[in-house]
Amino acid sequence: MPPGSTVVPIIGLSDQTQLTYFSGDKKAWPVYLTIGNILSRTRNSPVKMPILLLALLPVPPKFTGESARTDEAQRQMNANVRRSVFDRVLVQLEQVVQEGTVMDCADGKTRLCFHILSAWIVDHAEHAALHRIGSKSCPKCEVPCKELGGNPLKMYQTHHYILYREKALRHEPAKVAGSAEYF
Amino acid sequence: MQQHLDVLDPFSESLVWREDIIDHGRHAATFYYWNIIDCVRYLIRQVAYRSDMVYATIREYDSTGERVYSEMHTADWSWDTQG
Repeated sequence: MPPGSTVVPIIGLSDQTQLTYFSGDKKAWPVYLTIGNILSRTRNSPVKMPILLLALLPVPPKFTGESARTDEAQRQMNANVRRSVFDRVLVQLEQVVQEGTVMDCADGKTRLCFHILSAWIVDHAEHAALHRIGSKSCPKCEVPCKELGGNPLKMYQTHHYILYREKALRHEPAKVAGSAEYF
Repeated sequence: MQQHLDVLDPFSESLVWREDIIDHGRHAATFYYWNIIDCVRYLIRQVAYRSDMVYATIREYDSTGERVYSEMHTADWSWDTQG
């Protein structure tokens, strides 16, 4: 990174929200965005409005009402849709992430800014939906069942994860842990 | 609140909702989004946050010389990235 440039840590937030149970289960799925350059006393203050609504994700139907097989296909399709939506929303970020962008800053100067998507603040249900993992698995790390409660030093080790997944497949075929993906 | 709203920049013309349609077999889903870079550009040039904006990393220490971590720009991650 050239000297004098600034890192702009991007913080994303999202939560699926139930609007009404009438007229066929209406839901909204907003994705918000803020940046880490703002100090937290301003960033966390609702009246100062530092958080922008970035996108409204589509909420496809969860059940088709036909059969279990079509429901499963529908879930798979929903996950693909979600992924391509995120791809399209974040594609502009990918284009500038290497070279950086020149931006006007609040103090009147112009800086070369490098945007890094650094945090995604969501609750556990949202993690499970975004990463397509079962609601009982952890979105951060994989711990073998005998080491629960211990120090999870073996984060993101693939072979452990595969073992865990095979086990999960055998015991709980309905709640298979999918591939955990980070943005 | 009203004072803050007066200082806050109005949304620029570049911040417009984009509409996109994703076709996935059974039916097409419409969704709306803003350009993420324009959002960041809007936030970083916002004069209303000028006093609470940081552009450089710092290392904070307390009176006993212990390292103190508070904001994002005081972390080691920030030092490693921005250097």
